Amino acid sequence: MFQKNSDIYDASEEQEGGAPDNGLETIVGPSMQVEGNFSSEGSIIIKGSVSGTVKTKNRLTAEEGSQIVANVSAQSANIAGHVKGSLVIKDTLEIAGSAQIIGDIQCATLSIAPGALLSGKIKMKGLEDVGKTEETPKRRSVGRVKKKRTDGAVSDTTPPKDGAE
Amino acid sequence: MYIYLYDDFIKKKKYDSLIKEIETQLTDFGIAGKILRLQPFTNTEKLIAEEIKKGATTVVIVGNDKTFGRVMSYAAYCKVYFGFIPVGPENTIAEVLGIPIGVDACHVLSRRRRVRLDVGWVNNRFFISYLHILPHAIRVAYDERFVVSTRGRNTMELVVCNLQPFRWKEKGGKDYVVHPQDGKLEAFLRPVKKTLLLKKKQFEEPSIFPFEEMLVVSDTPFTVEADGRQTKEKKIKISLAKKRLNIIVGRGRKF
Repeated sequence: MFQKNSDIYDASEEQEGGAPDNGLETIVGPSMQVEGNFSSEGSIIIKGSVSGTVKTKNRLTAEEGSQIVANVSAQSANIAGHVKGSLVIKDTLEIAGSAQIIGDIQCATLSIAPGALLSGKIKMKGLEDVGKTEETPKRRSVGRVKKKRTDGAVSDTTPPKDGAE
Repeated sequence: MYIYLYDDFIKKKKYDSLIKEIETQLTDFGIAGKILRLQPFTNTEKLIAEEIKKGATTVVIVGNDKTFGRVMSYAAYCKVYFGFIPVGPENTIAEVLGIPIGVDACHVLSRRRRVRLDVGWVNNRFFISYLHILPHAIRVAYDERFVVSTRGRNTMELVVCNLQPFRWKEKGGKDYVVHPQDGKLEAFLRPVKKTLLLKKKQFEEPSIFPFEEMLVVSDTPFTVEADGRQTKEKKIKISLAKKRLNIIVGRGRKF
Protein backbone atom coordinates (compact mmCIF):
# COMPACT_ATOMS: atom_id res chain seq x y z
CA MET A 1 0.00 0.00 0.00
CA PHE A 2 2.93 2.31 0.55
CA GLN A 3 4.69 1.37 -2.64
CA LYS A 4 2.27 2.88 -5.11
CA ASN A 5 3.90 5.23 -7.57
CA SER A 6 1.62 8.06 -6.53
CA ASP A 7 2.81 7.76 -2.95
CA ILE A 8 6.47 7.91 -3.85
CA TYR A 9 7.88 11.35 -3.31
CA ASP A 10 11.22 12.17 -4.88
CA ALA A 11 12.85 14.95 -2.90
CA SER A 12 15.61 15.32 -5.49
CA GLU A 13 13.04 16.78 -7.89
CA GLU A 14 12.18 19.39 -5.31
CA GLN A 15 15.82 20.35 -5.03
CA GLU A 16 16.36 20.81 -8.75
CA GLY A 17 14.36 24.01 -8.73
CA GLY A 18 15.76 25.44 -5.54
CA ALA A 19 19.43 24.54 -5.89
CA PRO A 20 21.50 25.75 -2.97
CA ASP A 21 23.66 28.80 -3.64
CA ASN A 22 27.44 28.47 -3.87
CA GLY A 23 27.90 30.30 -0.61
CA LEU A 24 30.74 28.06 0.50
CA GLU A 25 33.31 30.00 2.43
CA THR A 26 37.02 29.41 1.95
CA ILE A 27 39.28 30.35 4.84
CA VAL A 28 43.07 30.47 4.60
CA GLY A 29 44.39 30.30 8.18
CA PRO A 30 47.18 32.53 9.58
CA SER A 31 50.03 30.05 9.08
CA MET A 32 48.79 28.62 5.78
CA GLN A 33 50.54 29.19 2.49
CA VAL A 34 48.64 28.83 -0.80
CA GLU A 35 50.45 28.70 -4.15
CA GLY A 36 48.81 28.55 -7.57
CA ASN A 37 45.52 29.55 -9.15
CA PHE A 38 43.40 30.01 -6.07
CA SER A 39 39.76 30.40 -7.03
CA SER A 40 36.43 29.91 -5.33
CA GLU A 41 32.79 30.46 -6.13
CA GLY A 42 32.04 31.46 -2.56
CA SER A 43 33.64 34.15 -0.47
CA ILE A 44 37.32 33.94 0.51
CA ILE A 45 38.85 35.00 3.81
CA ILE A 46 42.67 35.23 3.77
CA LYS A 47 44.58 35.36 7.04
CA GLY A 48 47.79 33.70 5.78
CA SER A 49 49.73 34.13 2.53
CA VAL A 50 48.72 33.51 -1.06
CA SER A 51 50.81 33.66 -4.22
CA GLY A 52 49.68 33.17 -7.83
CA THR A 53 46.19 34.36 -8.70
CA VAL A 54 43.11 34.86 -6.54
CA LYS A 55 39.65 34.74 -8.09
CA THR A 56 36.21 34.74 -6.52
CA LYS A 57 32.71 35.48 -7.75
CA ASN A 58 31.91 36.64 -4.25
CA ARG A 59 33.58 38.69 -1.51
CA LEU A 60 37.29 38.64 -0.71
CA THR A 61 38.50 39.57 2.76
CA ALA A 62 42.22 39.91 3.39
CA GLU A 63 42.68 40.33 7.11
CA GLU A 64 45.45 42.22 8.87
CA GLY A 65 48.69 40.25 8.68
CA SER A 66 47.75 38.52 5.42
CA GLN A 67 50.13 38.63 2.46
CA ILE A 68 48.92 38.35 -1.11
CA VAL A 69 51.41 38.28 -3.99
CA ALA A 70 48.88 37.75 -6.76
CA ASN A 71 46.55 39.34 -9.26
CA VAL A 72 43.19 39.51 -7.55
CA SER A 73 39.71 39.59 -9.07
CA ALA A 74 36.56 39.58 -6.98
CA GLN A 75 33.01 40.89 -6.78
CA SER A 76 33.83 43.00 -3.72
CA ALA A 77 36.82 43.15 -1.40
CA ASN A 78 37.96 44.31 1.99
CA ILE A 79 41.75 44.60 2.22
CA ALA A 80 43.55 45.03 5.53
CA GLY A 81 46.77 43.17 4.72
CA HIS A 82 49.60 43.44 2.20
CA VAL A 83 48.87 43.01 -1.53
CA LYS A 84 51.39 42.97 -4.36
CA GLY A 85 49.54 42.67 -7.66
CA SER A 86 46.62 44.15 -9.54
CA LEU A 87 43.16 44.32 -7.98
CA VAL A 88 40.13 44.04 -10.27
CA ILE A 89 37.00 44.47 -8.17
CA LYS A 90 33.60 44.61 -9.87
CA ASP A 91 31.79 46.31 -7.04
CA THR A 92 33.13 47.87 -3.82
CA LEU A 93 36.73 47.90 -2.62
CA GLU A 94 37.32 48.81 0.99
CA ILE A 95 40.91 49.47 2.01
CA ALA A 96 41.58 49.48 5.75
CA GLY A 97 44.19 51.63 7.48
CA SER A 98 46.55 48.71 7.95
CA ALA A 99 46.59 47.83 4.23
CA GLN A 100 49.61 48.14 1.93
CA ILE A 101 48.88 47.75 -1.79
CA ILE A 102 51.47 47.80 -4.58
CA GLY A 103 49.63 47.42 -7.88
CA ASP A 104 46.91 48.84 -10.09
CA ILE A 105 43.35 49.02 -8.81
CA GLN A 106 40.16 48.79 -10.84
CA CYS A 107 36.80 49.02 -9.10
CA ALA A 108 33.36 50.67 -9.13
CA THR A 109 33.33 52.09 -5.59
CA LEU A 110 36.40 52.76 -3.50
CA SER A 111 36.85 53.58 0.16
CA ILE A 112 40.28 54.15 1.69
CA ALA A 113 40.84 54.51 5.41
CA PRO A 114 43.52 56.92 6.65
CA GLY A 115 46.86 55.18 7.14
CA ALA A 116 46.59 52.88 4.12
CA LEU A 117 49.58 52.83 1.77
CA LEU A 118 49.00 52.63 -1.98
CA SER A 119 51.25 52.60 -5.02
CA GLY A 120 49.71 52.16 -8.48
CA LYS A 121 47.07 53.42 -10.89
CA ILE A 122 43.42 53.61 -9.89
CA LYS A 123 40.74 53.18 -12.56
CA MET A 124 37.06 53.53 -11.79
CA LYS A 125 34.31 52.41 -14.14
CA GLY A 126 32.12 55.52 -14.14
CA LEU A 127 34.97 57.79 -15.20
CA GLU A 128 35.92 55.55 -18.13
CA ASP A 129 32.41 55.91 -19.62
CA VAL A 130 32.54 59.72 -19.42
CA GLY A 131 35.81 59.76 -21.42
CA LYS A 132 34.28 57.58 -24.15
CA THR A 133 31.17 59.78 -24.60
CA GLU A 134 33.31 62.90 -24.99
CA GLU A 135 35.50 61.36 -27.69
CA THR A 136 32.85 59.87 -29.99
CA PRO A 137 31.03 63.05 -31.20
CA LYS A 138 34.35 64.56 -32.38
CA ARG A 139 35.00 61.64 -34.73
CA ARG A 140 31.48 61.90 -36.22
CA SER A 141 31.80 65.62 -36.94
CA VAL A 142 35.12 65.09 -38.71
CA GLY A 143 33.50 62.52 -40.99
CA ARG A 144 30.62 64.82 -41.89
CA VAL A 145 32.91 67.75 -42.73
CA LYS A 146 34.90 65.64 -45.15
CA LYS A 147 31.73 64.55 -46.96
CA LYS A 148 30.54 68.14 -47.28
CA ARG A 149 33.85 69.19 -48.78
CA THR A 150 33.75 66.49 -51.44
CA ASP A 151 30.13 67.39 -52.28
CA GLY A 152 31.13 71.04 -52.47
CA ALA A 153 33.99 70.23 -54.84
CA VAL A 154 31.60 68.51 -57.21
CA SER A 155 29.10 71.36 -57.03
CA ASP A 156 31.92 73.88 -57.57
CA THR A 157 32.88 72.29 -60.86
CA THR A 158 29.33 72.21 -62.27
CA PRO A 159 28.50 75.98 -62.43
CA PRO A 160 31.22 76.89 -64.95
CA LYS A 161 29.92 74.14 -67.25
CA ASP A 162 26.45 75.73 -67.02
CA GLY A 163 27.97 79.15 -67.67
CA ALA A 164 29.81 77.89 -70.77
CA GLU A 165 26.60 76.59 -72.27
CA MET B 1 11.46 -6.23 -2.11
CA TYR B 2 13.05 -4.98 1.12
CA ILE B 3 16.27 -6.33 2.65
CA TYR B 4 17.20 -5.51 6.24
CA LEU B 5 20.86 -5.59 7.28
CA TYR B 6 21.13 -5.93 11.07
CA ASP B 7 24.41 -5.01 12.74
CA ASP B 8 26.03 -7.57 15.00
CA PHE B 9 25.52 -5.52 18.18
CA ILE B 10 21.73 -5.62 17.77
CA LYS B 11 21.60 -9.22 18.95
CA LYS B 12 22.24 -7.93 22.49
CA LYS B 13 19.33 -8.61 24.80
CA LYS B 14 18.66 -4.94 25.55
CA TYR B 15 17.63 -4.36 21.94
CA ASP B 16 15.22 -7.34 21.78
CA SER B 17 12.04 -5.43 22.58
CA LEU B 18 12.96 -2.50 20.31
CA ILE B 19 13.69 -4.79 17.37
CA LYS B 20 10.39 -6.62 17.92
CA GLU B 21 8.53 -3.29 17.90
CA ILE B 22 10.32 -2.22 14.70
CA GLU B 23 9.52 -5.51 12.97
CA THR B 24 5.84 -5.27 13.97
CA GLN B 25 5.67 -1.71 12.66
CA LEU B 26 7.31 -2.70 9.37
CA THR B 27 4.83 -5.56 8.94
CA ASP B 28 1.94 -3.13 9.59
CA PHE B 29 3.26 -0.81 6.88
CA GLY B 30 3.65 -3.74 4.49
CA ILE B 31 7.37 -3.22 4.06
CA ALA B 32 8.74 -6.16 6.02
CA GLY B 33 11.42 -8.16 4.24
CA LYS B 34 14.35 -10.52 4.47
CA ILE B 35 16.64 -10.04 7.48
CA LEU B 36 20.40 -10.53 7.14
CA ARG B 37 22.78 -10.25 10.09
CA LEU B 38 26.16 -8.65 9.43
CA GLN B 39 29.21 -10.40 10.88
CA PRO B 40 32.57 -8.62 11.38
CA PHE B 41 33.97 -9.93 8.07
CA THR B 42 30.84 -9.88 5.92
CA ASN B 43 31.47 -8.55 2.40
CA THR B 44 28.53 -6.15 2.18
CA GLU B 45 29.03 -5.30 -1.50
CA LYS B 46 28.84 -8.97 -2.52
CA LEU B 47 25.94 -9.62 -0.16
CA ILE B 48 23.87 -6.75 -1.55
CA ALA B 49 24.77 -7.64 -5.17
CA GLU B 50 23.45 -11.17 -4.60
CA GLU B 51 20.23 -9.87 -3.08
CA ILE B 52 19.72 -7.46 -6.00
CA LYS B 53 19.94 -10.46 -8.34
CA LYS B 54 17.19 -12.09 -6.28
CA GLY B 55 15.00 -9.00 -6.70
CA ALA B 56 15.86 -6.66 -3.83
CA THR B 57 14.98 -3.01 -4.52
CA THR B 58 15.53 -1.41 -1.13
CA VAL B 59 18.29 -2.17 1.36
CA VAL B 60 17.70 -0.97 4.91
CA ILE B 61 20.60 -0.67 7.35
CA VAL B 62 19.70 -1.28 10.98
CA GLY B 63 22.40 -0.06 13.35
CA ASN B 64 24.44 3.06 14.07
CA ASP B 65 26.94 5.38 12.31
CA LYS B 66 29.56 2.64 12.13
CA THR B 67 27.13 0.20 10.49
CA PHE B 68 26.07 2.86 8.01
CA GLY B 69 29.65 3.73 7.10
CA ARG B 70 30.73 0.11 6.87
CA VAL B 71 27.91 -0.90 4.52
CA MET B 72 28.07 2.22 2.39
CA SER B 73 31.85 2.32 1.91
CA TYR B 74 31.54 -0.45 -0.66
CA ALA B 75 27.79 -0.73 -1.30
CA ALA B 76 27.41 2.77 -2.76
CA TYR B 77 28.17 1.08 -6.12
CA CYS B 78 24.89 -0.87 -5.93
CA LYS B 79 21.91 0.55 -7.74
CA VAL B 80 19.25 0.18 -5.07
CA TYR B 81 17.53 2.49 -2.65
CA PHE B 82 19.03 2.61 0.81
CA GLY B 83 17.10 3.11 4.00
CA PHE B 84 18.33 3.51 7.56
CA ILE B 85 16.82 2.55 10.90
CA PRO B 86 19.08 4.00 13.59
CA VAL B 87 19.32 1.91 16.75
CA GLY B 88 21.41 2.49 19.88
CA PRO B 89 24.04 5.14 20.62
CA GLU B 90 26.41 6.93 18.15
CA ASN B 91 23.76 7.96 15.67
CA THR B 92 24.72 11.35 14.29
CA ILE B 93 24.22 10.55 10.60
CA ALA B 94 20.54 9.77 11.26
CA GLU B 95 20.07 13.30 12.58
CA VAL B 96 21.53 14.78 9.39
CA LEU B 97 19.26 12.55 7.29
CA GLY B 98 16.24 13.57 9.36
CA ILE B 99 15.57 10.02 10.54
CA PRO B 100 14.38 9.60 14.14
CA ILE B 101 16.06 6.92 16.27
CA GLY B 102 14.13 3.70 16.90
CA VAL B 103 10.60 2.74 15.87
CA ASP B 104 9.73 6.18 14.40
CA ALA B 105 12.27 5.55 11.63
CA CYS B 106 9.74 3.07 10.15
CA HIS B 107 7.42 5.97 9.30
CA VAL B 108 10.22 7.69 7.37
CA LEU B 109 10.97 4.45 5.56
CA SER B 110 7.34 3.93 4.58
CA ARG B 111 7.04 7.45 3.12
CA ARG B 112 9.96 6.84 0.72
CA ARG B 113 11.13 10.43 0.48
CA ARG B 114 14.20 9.85 -1.70
CA VAL B 115 17.27 11.96 -2.43
CA ARG B 116 20.51 11.41 -4.29
CA LEU B 117 23.51 12.11 -2.12
CA ASP B 118 27.09 13.02 -2.96
CA VAL B 119 29.66 10.66 -1.49
CA GLY B 120 33.40 10.96 -1.01
CA TRP B 121 35.77 8.67 -2.90
CA VAL B 122 39.20 7.83 -1.50
CA ASN B 123 41.65 5.31 -3.00
CA ASN B 124 38.98 3.03 -4.54
CA ARG B 125 36.40 3.14 -1.78
CA PHE B 126 33.60 5.42 -0.69
CA PHE B 127 33.32 7.34 2.52
CA ILE B 128 29.98 8.60 3.63
CA SER B 129 30.37 10.58 6.80
CA TYR B 130 33.96 11.83 7.17
CA LEU B 131 37.66 11.27 6.50
CA HIS B 132 40.34 12.17 9.02
CA ILE B 133 44.13 12.36 8.56
CA LEU B 134 45.89 12.48 11.91
CA PRO B 135 48.56 15.21 12.41
CA HIS B 136 51.41 14.55 9.99
CA ALA B 137 53.77 16.35 7.61
CA ILE B 138 51.56 16.47 4.51
CA ARG B 139 51.23 18.50 1.33
CA VAL B 140 47.81 19.11 -0.16
CA ALA B 141 46.99 19.94 -3.79
CA TYR B 142 43.44 21.06 -4.54
CA ASP B 143 41.70 20.41 -7.86
CA GLU B 144 45.14 20.45 -9.59
CA ARG B 145 45.07 24.22 -9.28
CA PHE B 146 46.78 25.23 -6.04
CA VAL B 147 48.94 23.73 -3.33
CA VAL B 148 48.45 24.32 0.38
CA SER B 149 51.21 24.01 2.96
CA THR B 150 52.07 25.57 6.29
CA ARG B 151 54.82 28.01 7.11
CA GLY B 152 57.70 26.35 8.94
CA ARG B 153 56.87 22.79 10.04
CA ASN B 154 54.46 21.17 7.67
CA THR B 155 52.57 19.19 10.33
CA MET B 156 48.83 19.45 10.05
CA GLU B 157 45.62 17.55 10.58
CA LEU B 158 43.03 17.16 7.84
CA VAL B 159 39.32 16.47 8.18
CA VAL B 160 37.05 16.05 5.15
CA CYS B 161 33.35 16.17 5.89
CA ASN B 162 30.59 14.83 3.74
CA LEU B 163 27.55 13.91 5.81
CA GLN B 164 28.51 14.50 9.41
CA PRO B 165 29.01 17.97 10.81
CA PHE B 166 32.55 18.65 11.91
CA ARG B 167 32.83 19.63 15.57
CA TRP B 168 35.73 21.78 16.68
CA LYS B 169 35.83 20.67 20.28
CA GLU B 170 39.08 22.31 21.40
CA LYS B 171 37.66 25.77 21.03
CA GLY B 172 34.40 25.66 22.90
CA GLY B 173 32.57 23.19 20.67
CA LYS B 174 32.06 25.37 17.61
CA ASP B 175 30.01 23.42 15.08
CA TYR B 176 30.43 23.60 11.32
CA VAL B 177 27.42 22.16 9.55
CA VAL B 178 28.30 20.64 6.20
CA HIS B 179 25.64 20.17 3.54
CA PRO B 180 26.04 17.00 1.50
CA GLN B 181 24.05 18.45 -1.41
CA ASP B 182 26.33 21.38 -2.08
CA GLY B 183 28.23 19.61 -4.86
CA LYS B 184 31.56 19.91 -3.08
CA LEU B 185 33.37 18.34 -0.17
CA GLU B 186 34.80 20.53 2.55
CA ALA B 187 38.28 20.09 3.94
CA PHE B 188 39.34 21.44 7.33
CA LEU B 189 43.08 21.86 7.78
CA ARG B 190 44.45 22.39 11.26
CA PRO B 191 48.18 23.13 11.46
CA VAL B 192 49.91 22.06 14.66
CA LYS B 193 51.08 25.16 16.54
CA LYS B 194 53.27 23.34 19.06
CA THR B 195 53.47 20.04 20.87
CA LEU B 196 53.03 20.31 24.61
CA LEU B 197 53.90 17.86 27.38
CA LEU B 198 52.68 14.25 26.98
CA LYS B 199 52.56 14.79 23.18
CA LYS B 200 49.45 16.93 23.55
CA LYS B 201 49.15 19.13 20.48
CA GLN B 202 48.01 22.71 20.24
CA PHE B 203 46.27 23.56 16.98
CA GLU B 204 45.78 26.79 15.14
CA GLU B 205 42.37 27.88 13.95
CA PRO B 206 41.27 25.76 10.98
CA SER B 207 41.44 26.65 7.32
CA ILE B 208 38.45 25.63 5.21
CA PHE B 209 38.64 24.67 1.54
CA PRO B 210 35.65 23.42 -0.48
CA PHE B 211 36.92 21.10 -3.22
CA GLU B 212 36.01 18.46 -5.79
CA GLU B 213 39.36 16.69 -5.97
CA MET B 214 42.29 16.73 -3.60
CA LEU B 215 45.66 15.01 -3.49
CA VAL B 216 47.39 14.45 -0.15
CA VAL B 217 51.05 13.43 -0.30
CA SER B 218 53.71 12.73 2.30
CA ASP B 219 57.24 11.29 2.39
CA THR B 220 56.30 8.99 5.27
CA PRO B 221 53.07 6.98 5.77
CA PHE B 222 50.25 8.80 7.50
CA THR B 223 47.12 7.47 9.24
CA VAL B 224 43.83 7.85 7.38
CA GLU B 225 40.54 7.22 9.16
CA ALA B 226 37.52 6.97 6.87
CA ASP B 227 34.13 6.19 8.41
CA GLY B 228 35.89 4.83 11.52
CA ARG B 229 38.28 2.56 9.60
CA GLN B 230 42.04 3.24 9.86
CA THR B 231 44.66 2.65 7.15
CA LYS B 232 48.23 3.84 6.52
CA GLU B 233 48.87 5.64 3.21
CA LYS B 234 51.60 7.72 1.55
CA LYS B 235 49.41 9.24 -1.15
CA ILE B 236 45.65 9.56 -1.30
CA LYS B 237 43.31 11.07 -3.84
CA ILE B 238 40.01 12.31 -2.44
CA SER B 239 37.23 13.21 -4.83
CA LEU B 240 33.49 13.60 -4.97
CA ALA B 241 31.12 11.10 -6.54
CA LYS B 242 28.15 13.28 -7.34
CA LYS B 243 24.64 11.99 -6.64
CA ARG B 244 25.90 8.44 -6.25
CA LEU B 245 23.76 7.28 -3.36
CA ASN B 246 19.97 6.86 -3.52
CA ILE B 247 18.74 7.17 0.02
CA ILE B 248 15.42 7.49 1.83
CA VAL B 249 15.44 10.54 4.11
CA GLY B 250 13.16 12.21 6.61
CA ARG B 251 11.37 15.52 6.34
CA GLY B 252 13.68 17.11 8.89
CA ARG B 253 16.88 16.43 6.94
CA LYS B 254 19.59 19.05 7.31
CA PHE B 255 20.32 19.72 3.64
